[in-house]
Amino acid sequence: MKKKLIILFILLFISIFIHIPKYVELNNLAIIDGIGVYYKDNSYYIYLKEIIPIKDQLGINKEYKYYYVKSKDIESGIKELNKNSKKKLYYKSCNYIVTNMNTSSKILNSFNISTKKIYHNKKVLNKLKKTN
Amino acid sequence: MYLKINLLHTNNGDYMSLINNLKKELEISKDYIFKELNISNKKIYLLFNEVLTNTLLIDDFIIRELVNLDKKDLKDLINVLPNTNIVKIKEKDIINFVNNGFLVIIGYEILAIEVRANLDRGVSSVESELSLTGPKDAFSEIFNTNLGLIRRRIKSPYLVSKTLSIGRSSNTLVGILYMKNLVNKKLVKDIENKLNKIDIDGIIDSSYLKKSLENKNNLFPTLTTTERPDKSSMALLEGKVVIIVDGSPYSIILPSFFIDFFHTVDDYYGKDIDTTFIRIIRLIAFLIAIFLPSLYISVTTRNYDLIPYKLLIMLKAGRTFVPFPAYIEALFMIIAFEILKESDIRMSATTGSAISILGGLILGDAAVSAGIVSPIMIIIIAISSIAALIFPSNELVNVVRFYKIFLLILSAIFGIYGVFIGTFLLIYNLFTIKCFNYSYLSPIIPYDKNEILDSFIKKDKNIKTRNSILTKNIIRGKYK
Repeated sequence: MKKKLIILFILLFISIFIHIPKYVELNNLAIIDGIGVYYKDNSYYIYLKEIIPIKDQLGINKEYKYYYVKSKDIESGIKELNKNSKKKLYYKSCNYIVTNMNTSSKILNSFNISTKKIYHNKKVLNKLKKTN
Repeated sequence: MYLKINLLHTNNGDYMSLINNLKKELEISKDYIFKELNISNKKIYLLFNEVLTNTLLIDDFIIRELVNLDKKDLKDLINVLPNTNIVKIKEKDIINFVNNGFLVIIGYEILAIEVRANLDRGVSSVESELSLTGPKDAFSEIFNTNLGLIRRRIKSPYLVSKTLSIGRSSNTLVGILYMKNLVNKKLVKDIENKLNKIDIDGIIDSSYLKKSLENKNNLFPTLTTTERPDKSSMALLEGKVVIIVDGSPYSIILPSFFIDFFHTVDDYYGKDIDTTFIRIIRLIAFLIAIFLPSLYISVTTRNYDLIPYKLLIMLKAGRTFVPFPAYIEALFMIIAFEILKESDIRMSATTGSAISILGGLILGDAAVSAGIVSPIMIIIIAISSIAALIFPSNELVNVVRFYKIFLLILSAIFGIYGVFIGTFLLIYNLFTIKCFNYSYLSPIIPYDKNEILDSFIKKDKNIKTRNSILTKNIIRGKYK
């Protein structure tokens, strides 16, 4: 029994040094479906589209909620978005990115995601801007 | 013990004082019957317990015979009376024989005649370890019946039945059965030593012996209890030891390895390919029963990136209005399931089915509709709990439940790392268990290339073998 406790203690000690993701219930998780990044006049306009699935009699109904921030760089914009949101913003399930920037690697790195669908489209961004 | 000591000091040549003392000790219990007969001017005393004996047998074959005897015959009762089991006993053993269904005759000498009443419920069919194609008979509460059920299957002089009497008040008959040409003598000696060390007032069931035969620090069971005589006979032919206890319809098989709990008797009555398939299903069920709830908790509270997008959306939709944290919800569901299971076991079949319908269907549906629990959580806990019930051993089901809850708590604290820690401890536990100095993971550790073909898979070769760590006589036979 002593041995088992020592091993358990060692494993728990090791686990402290391993990055353990924060405990967040699914109810408090904002699943980001899409990201919009608009760059103009040395500022970044970041838009997030959260998907809210609601179960009803017919199946799963989807509702959407949008987040917006203006910042000088993408990282600080993300920080501000995270800070202002009551829920934990979860970017890894992001399905698409819309941007007017020529390269998307900076956005992908900043959000630490790998999205297959990247649209370089001004019209969509303008539409997003109007929604907010 | 107190009674025996008293009796030892009563005999002064004649049995009068012995009779008086016996009467004094036993008069409060009205089921003890004293009968005094005067035959050929000699007083003969009969002592028996009317609930333990067949009184018709006493009337027809003992008393009727006795009253017709002359003085000369009375001195040679052991050869005159028509009974196969008639023995001369000492004064100190009178009570013991009477309590075992014997009629004690005190005359020129003290004789005990077996006139047991049939308190047996007969050989009934198996209830907890059902088999589709195998024998249906099960052990009963009578020692001799149980021994007979095994001897009927193994008609060999090598089958040894050593008997012990355990329990200060109960004096329970305990039989150690083994094949003397197969068994490891040290194993028998170790078992005997452990049984002899038991100092308790009563052994009411074979489960009472478990505590002394099992390692207390082990969570996993290292012995098997079975109500099947065919399973016990199979174990004996493997070189294992079987313990039967008077009053218990369950025998104990020693030693038992981890792999044994994945086997059923049906495995040996069916085709190899079907058995292999079912054994793999049992292994999957074991893993599902332990890991499914903790994996669910870790991927829905910390490690979302491990599940696909569509599944994540579905899980989130199911939990939208649930007010409790997922791990509380899971624990609540496990406890609810255990309550239902426990009440179902204690109730009769008719009431039990009503509880299942009320608990399983109505309450489950109402809980989901009220938004207290998510439908996916009910699915997870139901699958995991049902998967655990695939094993006939209740001890293994309890271990599965323990690890399920342990891993659930670890996963709530550390996420998927908690599941890894728990898995490591589970494996460590399995590696360190010893059952009478045998490795619990046999035949994997130590590796036995013949026995491995009867582990999680089953493949019969032409030559059938035994586990080499149990016996030196490993060849069972050949299929031509």
